[in-house]
Amino acid sequence: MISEWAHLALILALPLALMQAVIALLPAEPLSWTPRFRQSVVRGAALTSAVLISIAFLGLVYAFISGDFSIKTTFEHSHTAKPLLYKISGTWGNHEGSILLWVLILALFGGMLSLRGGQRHQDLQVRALGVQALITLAFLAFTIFTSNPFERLIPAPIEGRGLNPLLQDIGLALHPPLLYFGYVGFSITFALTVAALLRGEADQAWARLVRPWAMLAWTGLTAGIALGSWWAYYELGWGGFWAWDPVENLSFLPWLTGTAFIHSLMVVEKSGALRVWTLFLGVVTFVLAILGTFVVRSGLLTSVHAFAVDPSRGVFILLILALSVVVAFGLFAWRAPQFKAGGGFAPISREGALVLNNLFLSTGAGVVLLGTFFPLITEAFGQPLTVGKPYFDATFLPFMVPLILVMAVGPFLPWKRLRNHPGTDDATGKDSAAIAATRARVRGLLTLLVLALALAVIVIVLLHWQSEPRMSVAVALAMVLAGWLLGGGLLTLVQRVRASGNITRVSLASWSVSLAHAGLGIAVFGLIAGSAMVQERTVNLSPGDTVEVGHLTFRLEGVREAQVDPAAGRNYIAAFADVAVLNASGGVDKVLSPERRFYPIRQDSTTEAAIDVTWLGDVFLAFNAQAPNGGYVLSLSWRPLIPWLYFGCLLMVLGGGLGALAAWRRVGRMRQ
Amino acid sequence: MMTSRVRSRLLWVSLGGLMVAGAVLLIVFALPGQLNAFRTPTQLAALDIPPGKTLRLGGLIVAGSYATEDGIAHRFTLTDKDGGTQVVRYSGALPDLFREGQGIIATGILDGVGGFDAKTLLTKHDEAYVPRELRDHASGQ
Repeated sequence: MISEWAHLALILALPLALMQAVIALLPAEPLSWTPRFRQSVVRGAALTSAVLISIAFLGLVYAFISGDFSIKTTFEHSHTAKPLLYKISGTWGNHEGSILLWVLILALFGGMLSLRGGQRHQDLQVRALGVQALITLAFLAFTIFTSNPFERLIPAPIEGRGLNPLLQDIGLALHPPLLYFGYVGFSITFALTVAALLRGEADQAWARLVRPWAMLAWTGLTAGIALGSWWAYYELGWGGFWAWDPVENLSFLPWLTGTAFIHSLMVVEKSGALRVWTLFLGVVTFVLAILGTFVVRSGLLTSVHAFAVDPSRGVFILLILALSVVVAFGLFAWRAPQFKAGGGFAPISREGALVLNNLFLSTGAGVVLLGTFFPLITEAFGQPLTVGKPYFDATFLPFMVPLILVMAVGPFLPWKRLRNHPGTDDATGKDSAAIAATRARVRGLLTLLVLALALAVIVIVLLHWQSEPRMSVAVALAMVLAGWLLGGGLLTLVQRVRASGNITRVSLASWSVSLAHAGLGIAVFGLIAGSAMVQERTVNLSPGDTVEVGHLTFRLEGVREAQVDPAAGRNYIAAFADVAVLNASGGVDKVLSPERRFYPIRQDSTTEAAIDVTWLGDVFLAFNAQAPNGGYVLSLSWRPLIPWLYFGCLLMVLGGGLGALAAWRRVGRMRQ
Repeated sequence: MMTSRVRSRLLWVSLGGLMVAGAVLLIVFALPGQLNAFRTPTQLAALDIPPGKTLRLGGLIVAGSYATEDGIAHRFTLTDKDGGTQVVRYSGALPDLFREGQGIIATGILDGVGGFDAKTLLTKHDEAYVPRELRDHASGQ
């Protein structure tokens, strides 16, 4: 019964979205609607559709929890003998449910936009809500007509088929919702961008209004990608924390352009320059987000992370995608030339650094896009050819090195608009001031360089103290680069504390930039060590055998089994390999128990790694198989600085969150 | 003379152009060594591919062909709907969903003596997913 109401709510949301789009986007004059009437109707519709789609989604969650197997989605992906957490997260562990989650977040963002946006920007808000309604309409239609999560089975089966064991993981509970939060968050910035194109106006107030949404979406996307990377890191066979897999690349593309977008918005807000470029990024980021969600589901690209795909749905998706690309870019091409060029700025200035940031990020996005779609491009000419990690390393990383160089310095540069009367800057009276400024700049750069070297040396010494890693010159130089970035973030904070006189008076925005930049620096340390300095061995051991991996010595103590126990939330048979980590004197430091699970319902097995997280790195053990010769196959590894990668990401998310809060407050101040 | 605004715009536009040119150069240099073609066992037998060239071999694991002694070095045979076969060797941990009769894509090189050395194995994640290339070439079952 509940699922009937949920289904009804979902269907009702469709005409509602149509009405919202029509009222918001049709010209008002011939219909003599007052702006106020129009705004209240559109806002009401946005809120109602958020409520309706929430009902639909909660209805589906309820069907999963209660085990209503008369619903096809529930039957295929759930089972009564499954822990509650996985019953809930199983709701979006399948195509239909995850699309519904996507639409839910879309509707919730629409509802939020209808509550914020203010009196002064009535027209902008109404049109943006109109665009938002069009997106909702398209994806609701996609959900209802091709991926209806409420499809019935008659007669209803008694038991479900169970969730794919690989998905019975905390990663599924967290990663998709956050990733979708990021993807869909950019629908609001897209809607506001299209609304600005329609109105032919994108001033500083517009940028200020867009920024909190962009920051919010960026924060969600960063968290979503980081969690996905973490999941792929500990789940065996998924290629580690980053493998340049198409699915990973597709989530990275909107992140790259979204990062460029939040930075170019700053320039627009400050000086009105870069307007057209920023509008372009606003459009492109959401188009890439749609691409990211749906190319994965269309099965167009072969990926290790691909799940149930249905090519027949792919056509619908490509249709939506083509339509949004044609309409959005068409509108952009038609309207953009009407925007007046903004003010200029000096090359060495905050604006200049931000433009460089945009150039590096978008070129980087370009080479990743090309590499990801290379199989499809070459297939058009015959044989599909794929490119792997070496291509991405060779073409993408060269743009990240200068990006990082500029990134650490950028926040110190002053905002600088170009004077319209050339000559005044060169007046002789300013010579000494200019020399002093140059001196300060050189001193700052030297401080940063020393700090970068010091940080790199500290990290390298720590790693050597722990073990004897093989470290090349390139790795050491990359560490200096990471130190440069971390140092830049730290110095930014120091400078802002000095300028405001007290750490409690440092603005949220300053905390945001320091945390995000320093966080990336820490993450880069983790990336470098985690990809270049891993020590790993796959060995066949019998109980009592010892083996050395890097500075670590392991001994297999034994293997034990545990039977299915629904009361303990265990719907599988487990085999544990107890592996002791030995210290220098041969004593047992700790025992780790990597696990193999066998799921009788689906006849699948999974490998659950045991990870001992220390602040300098992870001890990562996996129990692969029992070999025919009687031994046990184990993969034993030492992965230095991996925790830094995720700690760094956490700081970036924190920085993003504070940035969103700061941007939010600025909008509030503007309204008063 | 140019105004400073035009000059600054020119600077940024040429910098952008430079960036694109750099990207094109990098791609042109990085691509030739990195292209991995997809082949089926039948195609592999028909083509004369030099050993050491990385390629992606897709097919179904022949039932009864999988063998291992120590659980680390693995050997199995791949086939496709046209009947070609190819022996594959792989060393390391097998993916969880590795099973006889199932479609996989192995990335690796020919060893020059009739075998294929796989560096990575891509199996499907769940029963409903089949890599696109395999749908076309190996969907005999």
